[in-house]
Amino acid sequence: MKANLWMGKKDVRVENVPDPKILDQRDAIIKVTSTAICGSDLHLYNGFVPTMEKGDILGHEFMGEVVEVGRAVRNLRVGDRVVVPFPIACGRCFLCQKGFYSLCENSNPNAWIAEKMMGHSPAGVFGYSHMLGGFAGGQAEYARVPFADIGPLKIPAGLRDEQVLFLSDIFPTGYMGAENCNIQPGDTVAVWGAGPVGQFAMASAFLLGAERVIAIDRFPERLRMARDKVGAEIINYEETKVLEALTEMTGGRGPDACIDAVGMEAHAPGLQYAYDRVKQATMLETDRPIALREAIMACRNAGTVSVIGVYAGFIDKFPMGSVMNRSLTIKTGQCHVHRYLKPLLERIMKGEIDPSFVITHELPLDDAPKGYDMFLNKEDDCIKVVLKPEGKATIH
Amino acid sequence: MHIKETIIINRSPEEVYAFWHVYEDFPSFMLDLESVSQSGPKLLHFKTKPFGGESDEWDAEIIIEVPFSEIAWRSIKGAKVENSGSVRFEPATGGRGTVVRLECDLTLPTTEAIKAKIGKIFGEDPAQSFKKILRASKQILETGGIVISEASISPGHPAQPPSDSELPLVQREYHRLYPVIAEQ
Repeated sequence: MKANLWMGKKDVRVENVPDPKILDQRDAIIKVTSTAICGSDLHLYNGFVPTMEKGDILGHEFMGEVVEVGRAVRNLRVGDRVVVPFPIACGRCFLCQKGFYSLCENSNPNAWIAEKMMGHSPAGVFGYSHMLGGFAGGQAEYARVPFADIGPLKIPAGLRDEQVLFLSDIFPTGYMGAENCNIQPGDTVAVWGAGPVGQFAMASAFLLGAERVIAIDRFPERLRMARDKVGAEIINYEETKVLEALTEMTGGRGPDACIDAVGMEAHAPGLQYAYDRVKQATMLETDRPIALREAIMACRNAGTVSVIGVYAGFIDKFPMGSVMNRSLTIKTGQCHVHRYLKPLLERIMKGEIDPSFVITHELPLDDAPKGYDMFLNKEDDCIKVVLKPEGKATIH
Repeated sequence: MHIKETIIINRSPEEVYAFWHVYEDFPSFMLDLESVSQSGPKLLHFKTKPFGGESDEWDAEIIIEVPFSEIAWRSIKGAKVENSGSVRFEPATGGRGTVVRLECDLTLPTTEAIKAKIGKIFGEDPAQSFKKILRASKQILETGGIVISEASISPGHPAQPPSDSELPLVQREYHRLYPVIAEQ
């Protein structure tokens, strides 16, 4: 089959590899009909995530048709159309049973590597480094899905791939980011990063009852999407001083909750960016927490800072004094996608949200390298790329 | 060398003990073993998979067997690596399964040649290989099999499906003993 392989920094290639096979009774094989490039794939593309190996199949946002099931998979049949959650979860360990699926205790065969870096290991993830399991990803014609009796969500007829594909990651991720804000009526929520996850965090903040949502980014096309499709107020941080603007917009109090949907490769004008870029390049810190610092400083007293942007390692100059003295709550985590699949599918079916609004480009799988490059460089106002193993290019 | 490793398994002490008490099935989760056979009422014969073309073999006696609580062993004179140890089972707090504690004393040989060979059997870090054993037993008891990824089937393998010639590297699934989990 064809698959998109990580071959090194800024080098991905679509090549032929062996077809996946059932390796365990709880596996299913999915014929991928749609798969997306995630912002977090760009961290791999840029070489910021350790333990990638030449030849790794990328991709953790995918859906498709079940073509084979292992003997223990009773809930799925060949021909079912399913969306696959990006964390791999056994459903039987202590943390899965508490609903913390992205922290499954069993699904990472390389847990020892993650333990060395993080203390304890999170769950395995499709196509996201050997530290997170070394699982083949879904940017391919076929994918093996472990624990298929627990993860995949069956999709009823009548919904297009584009409406449900993002249940695999970015819609639940944005939703959890908003849910973690404990939004109360009248709340104002500010979101750093108006990429696809940020867009879903903003849309979810409204679904959960926020009165105002403020988007912070530097790309006009993303800010336009936040304003026109989601109904957010917007701040371009290259034109406006963010802290001053937020203070002014919220009567001096600050947003009730701040969401960091940027993560470890933040940009900023001026000296702070240069400082972090140098420290990152010299390995004195692994992550650039510029958006996170600003989100903390902006947040109102006793507010919540919700972190859904991806961090990999260590950060520097973390304003802990601001967090402690102002009773801030920090909530974070890789999304426990399995929890949100059914409730969010229901919201889609009721027409409360159509997640396809973030898609700007659809490309054949063969063009994955072009898709990565366009997405990284924001060419052609690229916000979200969907890859079609059997498809043609369309511009949305 | 003294090694201590521990893990919590989401199963009762009775179930976890019953699993560890089937000595012949040790190779299902101690992946460096080829076979374990019972050579007397309290006597076990261990054989490793061949490393560098040669298997290691030794005998051990079971010295403690307290149902649902403890199993202890020691190797019998003649083993290249003298070893003794115990695995103990305690109920975890709040009914959260079973705390398994594995302790082992290894007397590593002094000559470089044998050390290198032991290094192959126990990995760079013997504690790590004991942790792997505990994890594998947890995975079997909780999920019905050992969790494998495309990359974990052999060192240095990329995260892409194994070819037909690599398929034998894949650790066999283990639902045979625990069909109950699969049926749930």
